[in-house]
Amino acid sequence: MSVPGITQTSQYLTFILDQEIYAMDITQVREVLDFTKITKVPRMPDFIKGVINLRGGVVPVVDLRLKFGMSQAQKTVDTCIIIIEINIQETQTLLGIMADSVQEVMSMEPDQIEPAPKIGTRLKTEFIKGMGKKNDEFIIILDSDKVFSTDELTIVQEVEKNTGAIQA
Amino acid sequence: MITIQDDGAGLNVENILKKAREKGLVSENDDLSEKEIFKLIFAPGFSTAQTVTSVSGRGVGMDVVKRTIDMLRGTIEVDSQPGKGTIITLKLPLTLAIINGLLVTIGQDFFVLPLMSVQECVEMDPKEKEKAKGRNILNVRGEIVPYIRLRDHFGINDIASDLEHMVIADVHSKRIGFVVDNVIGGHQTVIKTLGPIFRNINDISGATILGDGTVALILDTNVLLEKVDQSINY
Repeated sequence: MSVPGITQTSQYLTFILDQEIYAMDITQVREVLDFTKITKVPRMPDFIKGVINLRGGVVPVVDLRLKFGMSQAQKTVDTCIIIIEINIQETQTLLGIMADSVQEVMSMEPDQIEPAPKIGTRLKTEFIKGMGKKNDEFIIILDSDKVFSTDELTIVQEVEKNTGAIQA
Repeated sequence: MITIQDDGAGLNVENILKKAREKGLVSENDDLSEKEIFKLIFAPGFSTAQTVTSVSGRGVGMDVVKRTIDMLRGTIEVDSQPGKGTIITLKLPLTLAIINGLLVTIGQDFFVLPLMSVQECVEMDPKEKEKAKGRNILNVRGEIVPYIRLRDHFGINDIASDLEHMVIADVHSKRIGFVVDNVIGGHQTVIKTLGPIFRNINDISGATILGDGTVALILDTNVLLEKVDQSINY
């Protein structure tokens, strides 16, 4: 059984988030970076870690673990930032996603991919394009258009007002 | 916006049209407006020069200019009057703007305040702060200056230094203080846009890359002023 919408063999980049394997269509992946210093942008939701300097350009970085409701990642030597290019508000924008580690680029044929299960995964079903199966392991293929819908991304949070008392 | 103007002979519309027809860019029957004819000079390999010199005449220059400007997401327009001269207008987006900024730190992070509005920096004397009894105002040489503590505004919680500094800026003829941890100094700031994800943050107008690669956020003092105005009570 395969997923409507996945009609040809495509290549996917697989990566790990909290010990589970996720994948994204390689056509949207631009590059993979080692973890670099992230400048926090205040009052954004937790899962927007901030921005990084990518060869002179400023690229936002998202922690998918936090977005998916998992615990915050512990930075290890394998932690990386995957730079993807997606469509936000009619413009192609670069976005970085933090991953615990990056695995490989693999091909998957349409019949290796099943529709997302209604229950049993930690993510909202709409984020999942399909479940791939390779070598006895399940790979959760993300639908980046749904995962990065603008509304959630652009919320600015109000800082809790202090009473204005002088710092002790 | 950059305008370049000369008082030369101007562009010869007839020559340009003739050359374009020769090259097949334009058919015999096409009717082009003056603006469209001027645009033809940007076509690759297009030149009406009779002789080629070491720096011109090959039809390369204007093509390169147009491509570069397109890449920077700007626009270029040409206007000309025979015998009077030619005006070329370049419009480049804010991403390339450079401003003089004041680099400051709040916690671990760097921020830039546009220097244009900055008048002075003062140390915040803890005794003077005490006297204000919880209101965000400071006595500076006899003048009451209302301020906004950027640490509180942005919710930056790591340990503050004992001695904070206040940058006093003139925003719409009002003197307003912005309290930061430290003032580093002047900085030639190349503005980079933050992108659509951050479009709802209206008091941060962009970002810049510092000499060591760190990203610093550029603050919009006008928007910050509006926020202070609302919270001032004397």
